[in-house]
Amino acid sequence: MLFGACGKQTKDNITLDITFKSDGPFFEASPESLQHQLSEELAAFMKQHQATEANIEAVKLISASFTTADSAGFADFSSLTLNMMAGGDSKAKEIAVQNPLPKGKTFTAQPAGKADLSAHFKNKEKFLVCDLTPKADREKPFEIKAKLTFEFTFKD
Amino acid sequence: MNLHLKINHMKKISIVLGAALMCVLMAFAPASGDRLLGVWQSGSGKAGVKIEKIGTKYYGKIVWLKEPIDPATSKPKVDKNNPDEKMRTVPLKGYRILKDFTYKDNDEWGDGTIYDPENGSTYKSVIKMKDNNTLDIRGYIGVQALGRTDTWKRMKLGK
Repeated sequence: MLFGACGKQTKDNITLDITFKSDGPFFEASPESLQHQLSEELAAFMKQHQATEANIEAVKLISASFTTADSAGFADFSSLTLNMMAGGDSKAKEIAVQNPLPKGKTFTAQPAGKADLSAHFKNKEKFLVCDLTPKADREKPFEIKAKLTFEFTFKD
Repeated sequence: MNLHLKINHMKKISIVLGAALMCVLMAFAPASGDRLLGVWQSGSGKAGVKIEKIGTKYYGKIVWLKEPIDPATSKPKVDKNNPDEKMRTVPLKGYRILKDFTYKDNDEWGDGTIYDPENGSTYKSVIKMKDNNTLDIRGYIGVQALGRTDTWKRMKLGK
């Protein structure tokens, strides 16, 4: 006889608009990391689902698109890797990769693997880190706007 | 004020100034764990790894390769041995091979992992700072006794 009932699960997507900024300069010899700490971005979404971190069952990145208003587009960089990092026991994960980068001003990256990010989103301290590999030294600042859609599975 | 009182007063002032100076020095000294920050050369001399802090954890990415070009492709080396097929196009320069280290105590950082691009394997890892310019990085599977230690040296930049 089995005891306990399966809890109800709910799935929903959230799209986060994240801005990554670097004041530069960029050096070809040293790949750059642009960081964004997630804080209040999820508050309304969690409230809508009447959920706390404890209700998060699974999270995965399902799409990632990147845009820059820079006049050269992404032409000054050869590759981009998006990572998720968080405190506690969670482990850093590469969640999207694009190599080579297109010369235009926007592209959609391939989500990497099928990583479950629930441990990251349960943590109070969580970061998105965008690694950029410059093709050459660059003095000017660089800004990327990322549109990231995550699928959340909540349990009761 | 007699001489005895003056001396006592001077002693008190010296103690207060000394304590204030200590506070100032401590404020400008890096936190113990942050002594790990910098660029380090692996024991083989093949790679330079920059260790940085994100949140409360320490991460290290390859920023320099002795042989950056893959002779088989004549292009910059990529992480071709990664078990995740989608990661095999990622350039090795910039790849984060040290992840999730937290400062423990006694010049030791633990709970981290080290990735070996030569075989695509990830190992649990601990870092011990032997002196300000020398690290012992131990990668292991299961228990620490079953592992290998590599000694890294701090890279002097601009030379």
